[in-house]
Amino acid sequence: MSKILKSIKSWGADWFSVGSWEDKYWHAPANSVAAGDPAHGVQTSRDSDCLPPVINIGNEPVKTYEFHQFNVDGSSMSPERISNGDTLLCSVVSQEDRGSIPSGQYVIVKADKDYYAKKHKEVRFDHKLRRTVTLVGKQESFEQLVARLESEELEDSVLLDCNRTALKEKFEESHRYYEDFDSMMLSVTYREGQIRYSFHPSSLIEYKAVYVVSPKKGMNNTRKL
Amino acid sequence: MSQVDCVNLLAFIQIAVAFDFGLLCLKDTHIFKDLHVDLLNELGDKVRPTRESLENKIEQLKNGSNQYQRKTQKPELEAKLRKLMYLVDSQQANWGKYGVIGLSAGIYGMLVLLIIGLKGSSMDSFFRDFLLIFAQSLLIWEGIALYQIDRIQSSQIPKMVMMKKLIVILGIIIFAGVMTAFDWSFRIFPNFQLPFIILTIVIVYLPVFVYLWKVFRQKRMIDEAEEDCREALRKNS
Repeated sequence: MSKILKSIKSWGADWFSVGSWEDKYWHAPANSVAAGDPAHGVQTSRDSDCLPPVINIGNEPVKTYEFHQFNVDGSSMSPERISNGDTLLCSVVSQEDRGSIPSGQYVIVKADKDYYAKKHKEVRFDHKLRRTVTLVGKQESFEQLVARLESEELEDSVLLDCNRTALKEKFEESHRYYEDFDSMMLSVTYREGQIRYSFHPSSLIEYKAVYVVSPKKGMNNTRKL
Repeated sequence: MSQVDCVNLLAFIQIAVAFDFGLLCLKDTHIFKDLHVDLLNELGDKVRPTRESLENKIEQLKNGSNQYQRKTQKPELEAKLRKLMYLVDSQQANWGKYGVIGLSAGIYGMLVLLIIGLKGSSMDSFFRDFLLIFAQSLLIWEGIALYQIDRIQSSQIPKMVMMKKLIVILGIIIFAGVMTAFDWSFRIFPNFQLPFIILTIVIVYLPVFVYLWKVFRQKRMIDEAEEDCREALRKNS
């Protein structure tokens, strides 16, 4: 009897639940980067056009074929003027440079499938987009981190109590999960315009976005990041 | 229903059916999406002075010597600026996932066109009951579907999912047919004409109502966020 009930429940969920509107097997193309949560099935509606081999920014020609191109999926980075459907021209971050990425860079971070699996989430994107704040050493405590963020004026949003609490939660959660790391990158993204912090081992940082190309009304607006 | 009423209703439905299927098939090139993008761009231009004032103020606080002001005012103003910038992002005008509402409304409209076209004003009780049951069932399903679609993160409904939902809509048609055949109609309404006309207009124009409601809500949110920014600027000037 319970088997029959379970089958009915599973059949009902397959056809009539909120989840039934999404393709649970869908995975983003390799050249897509999630602006926001990589476990969400955000899908850009239009097919991204191929960029011309050379784009001019003012008088400076940019050879697009020299960069890795990622299509932005999601609106989380819109407060930073990076929108859904934009293309990022990215350069590879070498192994040595991963431990010394400066603040304010837009980086493509590899989505850690195991981390999301532990939170019972399935990763739909291989990569996610974040803005770097600072590298955090293994021995650095939360209080030391906040003091450094304040004194070096790296991220003033932590001065708000609600943000500081959220940062502390993320700090503790990431330290619990990543027990063995050399350094972690504190980075930010946004959800409906509100700041969200995340910590990733710096080894997960793969690319650095150098230019953003926004297709608007058939034109490509390019700017340096 | 008189012949004249029938023709008027058919004309009214025809326009909606074309729109409903358009919403499903054209998605990105749909006129309503273009209008939404234009509106967001206009609102973006409207809030530009406030945004620029806010950016200038943040820059002033950043470069100023008053550490107390930097610590108390700058994060607050930055949070408000981000919210405003997120709201006026025109790339959020994405109607792909609402295509299924257009599909169900379009199918209903087509069926009504077909039945009224064949039967005219002299429709027998079987078709009257069938149309009423189908309309009520579909409206309930559309309500649930809208609630669920609003909660998903995807901006598109995959084709396979769309096929499944099409089967659900066909299931509702069969359900209405069986209910009518066995005379198990809901009997909520005392007569046919007025409830049928109201239900039909609500169903076939539902995508338009949803669109208008979402656009007006978004505009109100942008106005509120802008006012919030102005208030913060006044407070911190």
